[in-house]
Amino acid sequence: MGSRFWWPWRSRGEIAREVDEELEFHLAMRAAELERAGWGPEEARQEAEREFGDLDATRRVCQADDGMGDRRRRWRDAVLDLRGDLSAAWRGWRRTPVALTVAVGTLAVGIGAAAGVFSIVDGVLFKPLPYRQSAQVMAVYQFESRKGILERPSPGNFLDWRERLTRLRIAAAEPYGMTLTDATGTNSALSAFLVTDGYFGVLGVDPLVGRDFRPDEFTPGRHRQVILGHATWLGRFGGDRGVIGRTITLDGSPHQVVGVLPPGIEYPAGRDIYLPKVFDPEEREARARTYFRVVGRLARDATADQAAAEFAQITGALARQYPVPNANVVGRLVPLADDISGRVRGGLVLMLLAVGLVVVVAMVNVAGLLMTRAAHRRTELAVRLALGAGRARLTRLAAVEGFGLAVTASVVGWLIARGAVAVALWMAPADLPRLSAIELDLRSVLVLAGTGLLTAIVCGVLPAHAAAMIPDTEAFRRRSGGGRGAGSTGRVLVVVEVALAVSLLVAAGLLGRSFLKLTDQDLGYSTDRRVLATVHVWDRYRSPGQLVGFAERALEELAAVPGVRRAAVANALPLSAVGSEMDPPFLVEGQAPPLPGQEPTARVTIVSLDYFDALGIPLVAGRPFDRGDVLGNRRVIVVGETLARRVWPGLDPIGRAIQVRGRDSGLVRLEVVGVVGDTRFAGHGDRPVPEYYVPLAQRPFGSLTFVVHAAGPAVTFAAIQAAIARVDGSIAVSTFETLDSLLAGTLATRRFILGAALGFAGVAILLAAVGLYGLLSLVVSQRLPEIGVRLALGASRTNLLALIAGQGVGLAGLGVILGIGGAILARRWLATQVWGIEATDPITFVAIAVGTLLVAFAASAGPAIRAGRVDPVSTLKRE
Amino acid sequence: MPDSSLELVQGTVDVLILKATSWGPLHGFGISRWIRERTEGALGLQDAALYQALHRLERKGWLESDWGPSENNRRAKYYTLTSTGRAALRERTGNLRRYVAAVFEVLDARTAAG
Repeated sequence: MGSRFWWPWRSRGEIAREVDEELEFHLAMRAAELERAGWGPEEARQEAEREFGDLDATRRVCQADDGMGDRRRRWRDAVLDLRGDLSAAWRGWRRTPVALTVAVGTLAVGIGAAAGVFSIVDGVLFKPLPYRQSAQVMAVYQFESRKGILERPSPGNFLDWRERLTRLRIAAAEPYGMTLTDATGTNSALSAFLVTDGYFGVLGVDPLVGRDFRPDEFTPGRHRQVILGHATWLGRFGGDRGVIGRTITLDGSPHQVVGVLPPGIEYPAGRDIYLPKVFDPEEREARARTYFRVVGRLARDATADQAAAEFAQITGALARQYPVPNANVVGRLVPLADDISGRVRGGLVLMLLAVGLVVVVAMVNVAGLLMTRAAHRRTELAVRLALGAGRARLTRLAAVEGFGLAVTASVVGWLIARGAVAVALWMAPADLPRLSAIELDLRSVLVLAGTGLLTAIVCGVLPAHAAAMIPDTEAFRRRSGGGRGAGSTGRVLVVVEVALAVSLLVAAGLLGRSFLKLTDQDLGYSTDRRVLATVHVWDRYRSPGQLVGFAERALEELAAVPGVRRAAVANALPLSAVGSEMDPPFLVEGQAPPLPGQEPTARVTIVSLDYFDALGIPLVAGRPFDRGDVLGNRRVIVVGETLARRVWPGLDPIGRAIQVRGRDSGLVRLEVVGVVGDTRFAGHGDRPVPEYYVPLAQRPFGSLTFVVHAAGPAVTFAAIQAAIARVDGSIAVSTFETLDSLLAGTLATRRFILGAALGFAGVAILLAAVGLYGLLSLVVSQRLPEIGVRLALGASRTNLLALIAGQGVGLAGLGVILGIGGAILARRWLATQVWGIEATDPITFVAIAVGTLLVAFAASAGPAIRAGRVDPVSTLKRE
Repeated sequence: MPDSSLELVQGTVDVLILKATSWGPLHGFGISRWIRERTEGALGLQDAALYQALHRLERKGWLESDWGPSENNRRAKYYTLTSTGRAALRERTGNLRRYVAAVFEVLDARTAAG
């Protein structure tokens, strides 16, 4: 039976030969019989054939029957053998339940984590966006080469581009806040996009219900239409298809619902409603205010390169035409998928790599475990061999063990993956893009199956190979000393495991160190107990006086709310409006004007009195704004330290002035009255840039973010809403936030990825420790006699302990060296892929090396102590 | 088809083969000779049909075959009755007996009347 393992069935030719031989035997016997009865040899043969009947037909029928019979028998044997092997494997495992649990658990964790992480990475990075031919869609930016940043385009630039581009169809969206008044008169704030003509066509989205805007609806006076986002439609209108044609009240005027978008429209993320954008004449010329979200779709016959080349040419021409502010502006196209997910790509790729390493470590570990078992069972296997079990049979038994293990682990791994994805979705940072695309789908199942198959091969084939290597005469040899082969493979496996785990630890450690370093940075303002509330009042208060009046009354009401220590308002607060949308160029009074387009720029924030106090921004020199800084009086500003240092190095900036272009193109003089500390506007990791503040009373603004510094946690959103409602009941707060949660949000993705990396590294080092423990246990049990002799010859138990533990720590040491070496080699790549991984950090390396060796020592201690407890007499007797 | 011998009732060959092998392993020629001698050729069983039946029964698992030396020391294929084959033989024999008995019942009755 054993010899038939590889090719146990007969070929067609063999079957035919056997049938021929059988029939020939019959004819020969019958002819001989007839000859004995007196026939001549020729006649006897002829008579035998005649008696037989149709020889050819019989041959065919017999061959066909034999072929079928063989196939059936083959199956039956295979099933019986498999059943036998499975039950043998089960019996074997039942004898070592701990090893079984460890093996299945290890593999299941590896496989499950791999599938889970893949489904996350796949959803965020790899799945196509829900737009028609989404690869053709580009995010359109302007690159400001002097500032070195990608800016959102300005309305003026957008219009110029749209007119001139032929290889790219572009459309823009402007973020906007609106107030919805329902039938009961209740107000609620909605986030809106004012979109230009063809926006949804460029994205490649068809309304789920209703229609897109018509070209004539982008003209003043005819623009009272609205398209609902999917979530808004479900949440506020109950998913009713009859909503089309209905009139709703937005900012106090009636709008007709014309369409509903399908779900999953993520760019730009999370808007409640969409309205047609109607440009006013002033906005058409606005080239310095950068707040448009622009998307483009490649023309049918254009490539991305062609479109980018044309775009660069057009922006070049516009830079000459409008040197202010376009001198340094170059058009830039970013594939939409990259624009949405590019920020997290490095981290997610690292996660995928980390989980891949964990899977490899798990496989290596279990393969090592199986080989260790095989080595323990060498005697048993050798006896089986001697008793006539085919070598092939033993090989197959080992393979079946590995496969059974892998299949079980895959099933458990599937459950783990489901749990992991659920937990990950629950814990995932809200700013992780495309959360809705994450699910355990067919692709993840394929990855899981692939990993499981790979595991089965590694865990089945390696030990099977080891089993096949047992020499025939093993059973009659000494029981010990023969295990060198398995032992040395085991050593290699353990070193590999430790090396992989260490490189993972190094990556996680570097991430962690960078994270700590980052959060150590001073932001320049306090986030503690700062509550923000944003309102949009452009439509309600049109004159400067009305706007300022509203803001002042609201601040008075807010300051009167119990528990409020300080209240202020600004056009944009740190963290809440990431990316400056207003940083116009300026001239310095008393200095020669630079070439057009070479003027310095600065971030401008419009603030109320008490703003610096409310945010905890320190005053460095001069005074903050006061009640005298109003329209009609001298225009004043407070500048940040960086601006002061760059513009007036070594001089006192107080009393000096800058000039900016006013609305009527004349120069406006802005005098510096104070200097405040710099701020990292976008959170940790942001560089302080030149910035100055202007008083709200001199530059009224209609999108206002109030900030309240609360004395305790008692100040609620409801209290703030009520305070604003006391000023004007028709105004709804569009967003409530706290600076703390905004800050946490900026770190959330990093924290998430750091947590995952640390978790995977921990699992890997744990698995490596288990592998080391298993290997040393094997070594000790194989060398029991030798240990006995050493003890008998007077070796101290301490010596023995050092010998065994030293071996474990030595192997781990080799792994540490290889792992850190690998990490150093990979560091350059890691640094490009993952933000925050910086130069080689000796402290991290040393800590990880020492930690790993300690873990290795702990893993070695058990077997070493066991070796020390060996009773020399009994081991020698056994020999 | 040859001579005047009796047409074999469907399935009879199978029963004969099973019966022939019920005393021990036999090769095809041995089975053929056994049936011929027992029936003195009355059934006129063709060897072609016999061999086709042998291979069919082997496929059904009623017979097993193995190669072994024949009485004159040639390599011959021996058929052995399996346990399922033995059970089938019992059942078929019973069926055949009842069948034949029923047929004779009818035939005898008509004879008596005529």
